[in-house]
Amino acid sequence: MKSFQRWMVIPAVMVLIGIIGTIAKLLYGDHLLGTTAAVPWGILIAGYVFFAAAATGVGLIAGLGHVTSIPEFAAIEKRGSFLALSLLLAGFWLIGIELGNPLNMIYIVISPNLQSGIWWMGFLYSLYMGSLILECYYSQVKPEYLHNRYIGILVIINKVAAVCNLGAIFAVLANRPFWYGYYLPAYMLVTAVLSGAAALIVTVYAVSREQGSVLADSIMPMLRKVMGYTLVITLILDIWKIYNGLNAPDYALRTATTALISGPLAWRFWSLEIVIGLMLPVIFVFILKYSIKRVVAAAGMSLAGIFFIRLDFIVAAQIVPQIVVEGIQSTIFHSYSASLAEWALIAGAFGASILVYGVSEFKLNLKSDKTGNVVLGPHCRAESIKEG
Amino acid sequence: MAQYAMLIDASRCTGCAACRIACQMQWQLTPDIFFNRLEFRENGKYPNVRQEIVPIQCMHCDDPPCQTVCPTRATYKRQDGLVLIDPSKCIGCKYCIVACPYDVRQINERGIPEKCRFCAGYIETGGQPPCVSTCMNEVRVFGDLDDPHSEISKRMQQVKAYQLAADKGTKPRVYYVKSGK
Repeated sequence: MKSFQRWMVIPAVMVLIGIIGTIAKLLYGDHLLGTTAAVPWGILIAGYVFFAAAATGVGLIAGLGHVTSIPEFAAIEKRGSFLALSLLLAGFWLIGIELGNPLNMIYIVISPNLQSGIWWMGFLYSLYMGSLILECYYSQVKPEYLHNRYIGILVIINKVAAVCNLGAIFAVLANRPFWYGYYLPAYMLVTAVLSGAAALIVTVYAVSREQGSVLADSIMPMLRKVMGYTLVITLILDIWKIYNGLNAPDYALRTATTALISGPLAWRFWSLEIVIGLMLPVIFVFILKYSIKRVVAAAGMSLAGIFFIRLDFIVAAQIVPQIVVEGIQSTIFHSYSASLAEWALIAGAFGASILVYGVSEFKLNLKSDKTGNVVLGPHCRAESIKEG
Repeated sequence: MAQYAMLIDASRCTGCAACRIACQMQWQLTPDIFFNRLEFRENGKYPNVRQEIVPIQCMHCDDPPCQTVCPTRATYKRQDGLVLIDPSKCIGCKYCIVACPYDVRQINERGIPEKCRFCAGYIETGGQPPCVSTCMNEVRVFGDLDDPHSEISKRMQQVKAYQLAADKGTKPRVYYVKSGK
């Protein structure tokens, strides 16, 4: 109990910082953000994409427990639902504050534009949120309901559609060649699974450490494989993205890629994205000898790296000035740096996801044994987990 | 139904920015918000170099990407060609700003991504947009392309016109006079 309270102090403080950022944004509006008319989407959008994609990744991995009989997946299905819900709530917090007029969301229902990717994002992620709330509710009340295979398959389709559409929001913008193209939805799906696996690894480790269970021992090899393979695919996709960008005939695509590898975003790209986010985790997972701590370290680095992958992805496409009139270019790169209020909101979102999950873990029964049978009642928790 | 459009002869522009100020007055904009801007470029090689000024504003595209991406239909296109915004429907997602290939949207103090309105509500009464009527060199001509007797229709017959970033496929309603023709 004391240990739990101690660990929850940090996220609670982060949430407090986020609340201060929220109040400041509500009072002073966009003036408080680092965004401009030239770079209208900043770290809050990146943060939303990070949390929404991670929530989908967690849901995809844990959701396999609902539709397959693989015991490793079943063992994390309840935790996965709560973790996904915590991450999605954090993402919704960021997007809600980013929107200038969130109360007008009613028009998404009364005056929908089905051609708009953001409309579909609202629809698909609302469905996902609804299904997560139901999953979490039934996991506590009637856990056997979670194992309806047909509903499970429908929910997985919802998750895949939601995260692919998240990529499509950017991919349909022909005026932003760095985003434009068919590969982005697939990239978003792969990186969502990567961030989901990393978030699950960190969570399972923290829970096992706290409760002294053997959960981590039984599940970590499977999660390690998922994270490892998606890390390698992401690395390959990133190499392809750079190669393609540097050799592209399109000025904007070439310049955005240059911004990443040798321009204003270079230090973040090489150090945080490539080295910490992808290469070191690959080494930790595939080259160094297996140990849970190494896998957890790799997951932590991956999560940090993916956050900056999202940020650079959002920023790189916008800092390249659009050529409206041939021969006129106002600047080589527009500038964007996140403001204090934006960082406060990001801290708040991270804190909220940890706090909501932590409280759920402590107050509710999130345990399932390795065979997927749900453990009923807190009194038999430890025994069942040890059996797994 | 009128089909409104604008023809801009950039070679006549002196860069006085009266168009911008007139627009700001018309719509009571704050000094940091402007619906039209001037872009400057150098043309030619030394010693025969000259500066060209290109006025830029919302192109009121026939295939406007800002309308396509707007999740609530806050951005809509009227039958007479004007692309307008219903502020009461705007959720402030800024997708329209990101999608616009002309960088013409500006966020106002209420968080609405605003832009040139072709002076909707004013032109129907027979008035000319202030950016047109204020210009001392008659850089802009505004009118109804469906009316063969309108000044813009006549001028379009006389000059060779082009559209900015036509390769984006947005079919702009703002035309530019090709200089030297």
